[in-house]
Amino acid sequence: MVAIKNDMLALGIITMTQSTSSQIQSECTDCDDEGLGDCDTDRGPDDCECTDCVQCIG
Amino acid sequence: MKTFCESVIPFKMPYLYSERIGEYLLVYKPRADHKFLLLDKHAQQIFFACDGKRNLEKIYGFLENHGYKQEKIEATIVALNKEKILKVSDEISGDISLRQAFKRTFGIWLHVTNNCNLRCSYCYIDKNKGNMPLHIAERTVINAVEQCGKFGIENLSIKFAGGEPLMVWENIKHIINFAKKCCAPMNITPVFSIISNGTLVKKEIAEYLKNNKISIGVSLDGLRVVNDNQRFHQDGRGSFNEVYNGICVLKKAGCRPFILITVTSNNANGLQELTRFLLEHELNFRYSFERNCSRLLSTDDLIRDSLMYTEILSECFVNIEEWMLRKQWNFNIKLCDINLDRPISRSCGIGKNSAAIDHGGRIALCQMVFNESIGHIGKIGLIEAIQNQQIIPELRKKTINDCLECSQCIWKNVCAGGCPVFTYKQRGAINLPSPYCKVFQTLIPKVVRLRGVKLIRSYEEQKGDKTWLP
Repeated sequence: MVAIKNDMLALGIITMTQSTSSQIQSECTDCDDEGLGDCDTDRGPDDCECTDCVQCIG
Repeated sequence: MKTFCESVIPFKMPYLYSERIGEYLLVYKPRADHKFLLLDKHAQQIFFACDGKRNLEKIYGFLENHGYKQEKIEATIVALNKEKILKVSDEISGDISLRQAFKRTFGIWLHVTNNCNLRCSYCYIDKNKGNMPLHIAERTVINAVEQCGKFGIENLSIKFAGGEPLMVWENIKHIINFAKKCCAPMNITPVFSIISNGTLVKKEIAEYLKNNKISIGVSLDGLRVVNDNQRFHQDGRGSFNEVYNGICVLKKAGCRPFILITVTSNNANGLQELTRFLLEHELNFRYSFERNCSRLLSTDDLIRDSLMYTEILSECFVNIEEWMLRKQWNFNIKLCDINLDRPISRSCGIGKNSAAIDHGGRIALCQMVFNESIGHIGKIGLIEAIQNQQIIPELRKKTINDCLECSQCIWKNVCAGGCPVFTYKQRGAINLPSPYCKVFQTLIPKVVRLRGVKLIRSYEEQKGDKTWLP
């Protein structure tokens, strides 16, 4: 189960905690890369990509 | 003191996906930080009142007439503004930094054998008895580690595949030990995984995987005859019983294999049954569409398959949701390369940070194009080979924005256009939407909904409410 963030519950806004979000991201063990070469330039979200892990094959 | 001037007109951020689930409104941000939020009925009313036409003064007046206190309205709008659901003031930028402190990874697909005990109907590997000699495997590891050092990469992902990699299990163990020794002095973290057909799993193998934290993907396309119709031995015998046994051995050892389902027109009708089976066995899984690169799909074939996949997988997702309401487990279900958790602009690392090496040491962009070598591990660095390749040069700089149609799609940073090789082989260019684009557009919201249901269940359980049904 995901951990719920408490600080906005009183306002009726429900979301998961950052640590849970990070945990979900890390489930795909090899997907946390930023690529090679010019990836150090700050190109925003389009810089992100996925190195296919065991979940990602055809 | 008021946070915002009352003359300001708040509006909803563009490219939000929202769907009502029970009494909640699920809001997902596929073009931003990929965050999921639920709004209860009060937060929803405030959210919908911010329609881009009324200023805050009118919104306060309207909502106060419905019994809301201004303090709560304002606090909610501030929170929604902070979460980038609403945009209230230009003083708070709508742009957020999506770059995260991820470590960089280079991935290699190590084709440790070209031999396989199965002859699956859709397999694109031209099989023979050839195994990757250990000196080739070692040279590949050295090459990869040197390249990681040269390019400042911290993680090296080695995926053992084939053929059936467990046919050369002793070699795999040798390569793992060798890679660990090579990586340690370079401060590179090796990560290992195996793509297997699951028929050759033994207790010793399962325990080794568990003890060494090595993940394993096992292919399974259906129950019994459905699987056996497309995953069979050379003599025609089906593989289901052996695969099921392999999965049981892995689970008994404490491994949780990731099940890889290849969806074809032949097994689609058995997917609901398979899905229920995997849920009952608490196995994570992925649906992948068959990617035949050796022949062009006709428009009729593509339409037929797309309609079939959409209809059947939609039913599977309904079944999964029903299951989630009755049972509880921390599932991970994937649809092809779509990524709900963080924005992507490429569906995989092809042409940039991954390579496939066949059993003879020839380098390829990926395992689907082993016949189009871009060098040999004895002659060129892996990353340099990728950077200099002329097979699909556009891959080096490809982002999803290169495709006009994709660049305007709400899901562009979720699917990233799908498999570029499949698109290239089927449509002649990579800067086009996937042949399965319409399937993705229909199914992605259903996967998003599952996340919403998971979030609601977690919240309701935290509250102690066991009676909730959407």
